[in-house]
Parts: sequence; structure tokens; C-alpha cells
Amino acid sequence: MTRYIVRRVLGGVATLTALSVLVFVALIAIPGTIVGSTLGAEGASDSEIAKQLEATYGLDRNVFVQYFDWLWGVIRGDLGESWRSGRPVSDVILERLPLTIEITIGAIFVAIIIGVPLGAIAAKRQHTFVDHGARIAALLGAAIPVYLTATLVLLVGSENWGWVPPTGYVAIWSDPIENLATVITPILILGFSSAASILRMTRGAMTDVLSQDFVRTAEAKGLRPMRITIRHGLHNASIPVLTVLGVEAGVLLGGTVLTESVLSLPGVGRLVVDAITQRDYPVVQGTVLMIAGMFIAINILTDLLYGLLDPRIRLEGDN
Amino acid sequence: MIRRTITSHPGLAIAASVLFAITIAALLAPLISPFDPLAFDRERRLTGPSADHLLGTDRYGRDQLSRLLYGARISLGVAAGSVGVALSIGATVGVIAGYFGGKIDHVLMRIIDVLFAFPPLLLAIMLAASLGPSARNAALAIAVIFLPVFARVARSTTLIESSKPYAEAVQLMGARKTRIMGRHIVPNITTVLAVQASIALAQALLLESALSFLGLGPQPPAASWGSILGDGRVLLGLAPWVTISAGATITIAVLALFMLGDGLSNLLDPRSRR
Repeated sequence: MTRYIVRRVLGGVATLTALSVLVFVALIAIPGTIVGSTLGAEGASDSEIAKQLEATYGLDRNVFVQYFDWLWGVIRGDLGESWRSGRPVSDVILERLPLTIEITIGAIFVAIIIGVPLGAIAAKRQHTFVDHGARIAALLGAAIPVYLTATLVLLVGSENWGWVPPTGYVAIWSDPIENLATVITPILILGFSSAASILRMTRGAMTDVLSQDFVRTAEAKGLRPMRITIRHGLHNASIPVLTVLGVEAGVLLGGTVLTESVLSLPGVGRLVVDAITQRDYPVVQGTVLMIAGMFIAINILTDLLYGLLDPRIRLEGDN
Repeated sequence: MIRRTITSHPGLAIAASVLFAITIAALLAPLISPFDPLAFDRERRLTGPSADHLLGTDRYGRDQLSRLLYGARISLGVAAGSVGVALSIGATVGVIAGYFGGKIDHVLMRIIDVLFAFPPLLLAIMLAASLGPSARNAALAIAVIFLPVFARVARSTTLIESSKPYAEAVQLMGARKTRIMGRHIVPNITTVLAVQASIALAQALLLESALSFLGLGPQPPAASWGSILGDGRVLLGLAPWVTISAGATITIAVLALFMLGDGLSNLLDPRSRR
């Protein structure tokens, strides 16, 4: 087990390193630099000031030097400083991260609460009204863009009740009610959109499981249908559902970019978009690395959960 | 045969006809649009749906229906283009990795793993920003997102197919590897790839609209469905029809593609035949 975890974590670090190169190259390729956007078209033609600024940001150095300098910082836990605000990137991210994590976890929770029971019911009552209804609802949830839902929620709320969702972030431990008021809208919007794929996967996996012999045996033994569905059905269907959950976590982390932008919430998602438009590269690099790292960690965790849910699964490298 | 397919898979038939209609409308946009999508009309700014302007006008008095018809060309073009590129490159990589295995497989799959470690929308935003905002670059960014998906699907199905008796038989008959891959493996994995492609098209449409919504898609005056929606958002209280009609169009197209994917996988999977 330990060996497996160590191997996966090392693999994750290797992936992150490769990814950091990719991010670095992508950022260098973005047309226009911070020097241009700070000085404007006129100032940029004054090469003396431009050179000075380039030196301040370290842009006059060799690209490889720039990269390894940054990487060395990351290894020591230093993500550099924001070119815009001058604040340490890690501070900026840590300040914004709780909101995004809260929204993502909340949305996954909502998606499970909606998707798993409905998927199980749809599988038990296949080709009935319930089944079709659940599937259509699920398809709609997946097909409506999240930024559209968010926009419509804003429209309906403000037109009818003069309601405007709160835009500030209050930590959950300092004022739980205020906090909930902020996160509930994005959580419900994203949760509904992710429920779709979880419902589909639960329905598919449950259909497979319920047609197997051991379920017929359980029925023959006279077990209550509820018990069969949960103990025999859902337990065995949980592995594929878990896989989708891991994938959905990534989709949600991306989805927060959109909902945070539409609802003007100060989360990590909006931070990336703003930093890209402002050419604040240290912030972009740090944030992308952080989000990707979280995504990789989630995927390792789901793989570990497989082993817990199904003792037959032996993790590779685990003796 | 066709009639039986339609009656036993009504969802598939509906989805296919909706998509057919949207595609035709996009292709014929210059012929069927009631107005020039770029023509300003000061007199008729932000007018609601009427007999003249079926879906109303935007803040410059441009006809919304015409804008959506022309927007379809960009939205569908980007989605189809990106999935096309991702499918052809991804499937090639996947088949090669799956068939040859060993070192090639290992290296290719590690590269794919790195692409998979990004949340999809985040990767698309970064790539689209670094390539510069335009419809073509949005398509390229989206293609990169789907490349690993097709590579993985192609690889795993190739692994299954190449271990089947028929593949071993042609190999024993002395067929060249390229011939086995091209003539025997590829035709047998196309159905799986087709299902994957229709789902990818739906997601590509959503990604394209998200990128355009964030301003990373086609630049004005060109507009895709997503950028029309993004435009309308500013005037939401004054002219909700702009946002709602664009949003409904995206949703219908995506829904039809999802239904097509579902329908195809039911149709092609012998186990689920009723």
C-alpha cells in the first residue's frame, strides 16, 4: 500500500513538472507582455523604460534561466510575487482557495445526492416514466451551459425579487450564514450540471449489477428490495461511479472559472482568468500548478478508494 | 430497416433530424437569413421579438435570428473542426500505442497523462489565451483537450481487438502490420469512436461557447453563439431575448448531440437491443 502511494505521488510530481513546462511555454507564447500592457503603445516604444521594466521582472534573462529560477522557487515553496500587486503569489492563492474548494466540494455533494438515488431508481424501473424522466432531466442538466444557468438565476432573481447574490467571501468559521448565502448559488448550479453524468453512470452500472446472478440469489433469499438495491447493487456499482466523480472534480474545477466570473465571486477560477488578461504570469503559473496538483491528488485518492470499496482490487505494486 | 430503427429509437431519430436541420440552416445562412447579421439599425435597437425580427434585435439593432444563423457556422465549424483534428490525431496515436505496445506505448501514454492532469476548461482557456483569441485558435485549444480522450479510447479498443482470434489469424497469414491496423483494427473500432465523437462534439460546442463567452473566441464583428450570449449578458435586464435565444440554441444543439451519442451507443451495442 505504502509502496503504491509513494509511486503514485512520485508519478504525480513528474506529471506536474512536465505540466509546469507546458504552462511556462504557453505563457511565453501569449501575445503582448506585461511591459507592453503597463506602458501602453506609446511608452513601449521608449526602449529605455521598457528595458528597465524587463529587468525588474527578470524578462531580460534567458528563457531557461527564467524557468529554472521559478522551478527552484517552487521547490522551496516560493511561488514568486504577483507582477500587479507585488504580493506573494501563495498568499493571493491561499486567500482565494477556500471559496473555490468549498464550491467544488459542495457541488460534488449536491451532484451525488441528486445523481446516485435517481440513477439507481432509473435502473430499477427501466423504460418506465420515471426512467425516461430522470434521463431527460440529466441530459438537460449536462446540455445547459453553466454560465447560462448562472446568468438566468441572476436575471430571475433581480427582476422578480430585487435579489442580488452576495459577491464577497466570508470564511465559513467566521459567519456560517453569510458564507452559505454566498456559496449556495454556485454550488446548486454546478451540482445540477454535474448530477447528469453521475446519474448516467449510476444507471448504467446499476443495470449491469442488477442483472447478475448474485442479485437473483438475493431476491430468492427473500431479502427486502431496498436492501438488495443498496447492499448488493449500489455497493458493487460504486467503482464506475467513483471514476466519474474523479473526472467530474476536474470539470467542476474548470466550471468554477465560469460561475465565479458570472457571479463575480473572488475565487481561484476568476483569479486565473483575470491574471491571464493582465499578463500577471507568476499568478497564472502558481494558480494553474495549484489547481492541477489538486486534480492529480483527487485522482490518486479515488484510485485508493477503489481498493477500500472493493477488496478484490489489488493496487499495482502493492504486495 | 430504417423505419424500424426510427420507431424503436425515437430519441435518435429526433436528435438526428434536429442536427440535420441546424447544419442545413448554418450552411444556407446567407440565403435564408432575413437580414444582414452585421447591419446596424439605429431605429430598432433592443426591440423585442416581432414579425419583422422574429427573435428581436441587439443593442446595435442587428437582427438576432440572422446573427444566430451566421453564428451557427462558427460554433459548429469550431466544434466539428476541433473534434475532427482530435479524432484523427488521437485515434492514430491510440491505435499505434495499443498495437505496438512497449516503449512507444509507454511514452505516448505519459504525454497523454500530462494533458489529462489539467481540468479541461482551464487548459482550453490557457491555450486559447496563449494562441491569441480567434475562432481558429479556440478550435485548436479544444482539439488539444479531446486528443487524449480519443487516444485512450482508441488504445483500449485496439488492445481488445488485436487480441481477438481474427487479428491473430491475419497476422499468421503474414499480413503487414500497417495493413492489419488499417484494414482490420481500424474498421472494428470505428463504432466506438463514432459514439465518442458525438459526445465530444457536444462538449466541444459547450467549450467553444464558454471560451467565446469569456472573450477568447471569434472577435467582433464575427460572433459565435457563445459570444452572442456573452454580449447579451450585459443588457440582460433590458433585452433578455438576446441571452435566452442564444442560450436556447446552444442547449438544443448540445442536447441533440448528447442524444445522438446515447442513441448510437444503444443502437450499436447488441446487449441493449430490446
